[in-house]
Amino acid sequence: MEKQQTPFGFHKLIFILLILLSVSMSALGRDILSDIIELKIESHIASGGNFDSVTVELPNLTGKTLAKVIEYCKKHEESSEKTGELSEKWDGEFIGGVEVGMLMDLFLAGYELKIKGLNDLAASRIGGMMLGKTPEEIRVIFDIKEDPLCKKSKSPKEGERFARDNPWAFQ
Amino acid sequence: MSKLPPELITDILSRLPVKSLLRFRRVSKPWRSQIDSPGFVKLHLYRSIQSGSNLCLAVGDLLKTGRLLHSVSLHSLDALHIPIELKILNNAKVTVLGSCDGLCLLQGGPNDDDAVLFNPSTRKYRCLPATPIEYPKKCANYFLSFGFGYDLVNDDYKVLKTTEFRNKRDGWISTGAKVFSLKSNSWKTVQNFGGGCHPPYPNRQVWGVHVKGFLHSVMKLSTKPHGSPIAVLGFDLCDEKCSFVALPDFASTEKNLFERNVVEFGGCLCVLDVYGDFRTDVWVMKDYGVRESWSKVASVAPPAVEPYACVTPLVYSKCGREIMLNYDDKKLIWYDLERKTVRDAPVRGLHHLCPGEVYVESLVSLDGYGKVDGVKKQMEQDKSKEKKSRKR
Repeated sequence: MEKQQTPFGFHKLIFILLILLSVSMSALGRDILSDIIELKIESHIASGGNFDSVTVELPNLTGKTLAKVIEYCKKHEESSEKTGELSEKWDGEFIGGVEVGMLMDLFLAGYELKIKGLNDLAASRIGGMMLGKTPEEIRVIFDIKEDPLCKKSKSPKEGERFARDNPWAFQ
Repeated sequence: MSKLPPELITDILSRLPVKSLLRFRRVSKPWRSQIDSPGFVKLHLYRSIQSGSNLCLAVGDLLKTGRLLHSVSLHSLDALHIPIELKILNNAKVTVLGSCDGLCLLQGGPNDDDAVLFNPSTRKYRCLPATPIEYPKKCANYFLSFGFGYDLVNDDYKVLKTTEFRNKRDGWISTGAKVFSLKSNSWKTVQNFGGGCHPPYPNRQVWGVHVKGFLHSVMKLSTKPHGSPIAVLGFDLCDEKCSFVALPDFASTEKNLFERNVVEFGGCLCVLDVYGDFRTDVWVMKDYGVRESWSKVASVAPPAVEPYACVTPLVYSKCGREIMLNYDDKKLIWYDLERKTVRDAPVRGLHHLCPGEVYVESLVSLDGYGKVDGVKKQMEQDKSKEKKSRKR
């Protein structure tokens, strides 16, 4: 059996934390987390492993991001229990209060953990941030270093052609 | 910061308006080829339709002589919009005849009887080839009407051009019809169009109502002035045949019916019945082709609107409690469905409103459909692939 190279300390801690949370936490959060854990354990057992050496590989998230994700799930469970509808205002403040790096991480987390609400919320926030931005500013946000259109293209004409395309979109 | 995988970049981009996307084609080569790919164009269109975002109102300019098309975002009526100058048109008057998937059909081009397909979001256009009109005997005058839609089966955009022929006493003789296919880039005559049905109101733009691959029009079965009820006919863009659309059981007696029209509203077929007491009933068929899915959305009547005012629904508000109406082609109003009250929806920089057409902003290209440009692009792509493989 292939042994996974996960560092013991931090991820294990998080894993234990997750199990504790999944027991105490709301249905929504519990579902997501236990789904992931169960799935991983099942596949582990199926591939011939035993319970003594279960290592769960979690999505590539920092503890800080995970805390935010859990905050989101908890709030949504609470509000859906109480009023039956989710607070748009809370969502706005939640997502509006994070910086770009964290926003991207939350978007990724929402995608990997299949939390559609969070995924949509982060995506529309990122989309909102991009409106009115120039290509140069977008490269900064998405950490796209080079500018292949101008630097790499052998013929300068090509770059010029791109610059001429759809000038009204730059107004 | 973690770098996002390509599928997540696609996810974000598919939520953006077209203007931003055109700008972001310059971010990098991968972004550019992503935004230009047919798969992404379809995804973006689908997303916009699903979420009801990126909706615009295309309004021609009847007053000025500048060949202008106003494109107003329905989500921000007070935002400044710059009218688009259409140099391709020979006539100063710009008339929007229909729209589908972000493409608008405009009257004009080299001749007044011609039509141009135009995507206001990318500003790309394509003139349709001219096609002669074959007049029947005793024809004294004729009236042209256009419709535009998407043939799902053949993945083709098609234009229907009908000609209503009338005699000296303005009596209807016959209706001729031709269909233009974007893929084949040619016109084809439709035999026995409409099966003897004739338009109940002379000289009026019909067949512009596109829902789910069908173009619609109100029709009468006999030539008697008060003979038959007004039916709704659907022209199937796939097999190019007409059939009747099942209508609901209109509760009120049809004797009092003054006028019946069809429009597209919120992606559904919508019947507007105007009665003698100036009331306009708005009926919507939620599931296309399902008779039971017809329901009355609103009944707009005085004092909310003036008598004789003609109202046409355009969109639902975000919360769904109001609908936007085109009021007599003069202004836009919001109609509260519960309270039955109205309030103005002023549009910045637009003092008049001729018949406007709601369209969804899209990247849908007019090239690639049976034209050389598509082949050229493919060749370019193949070339670049070759270069890449050589490098490896």
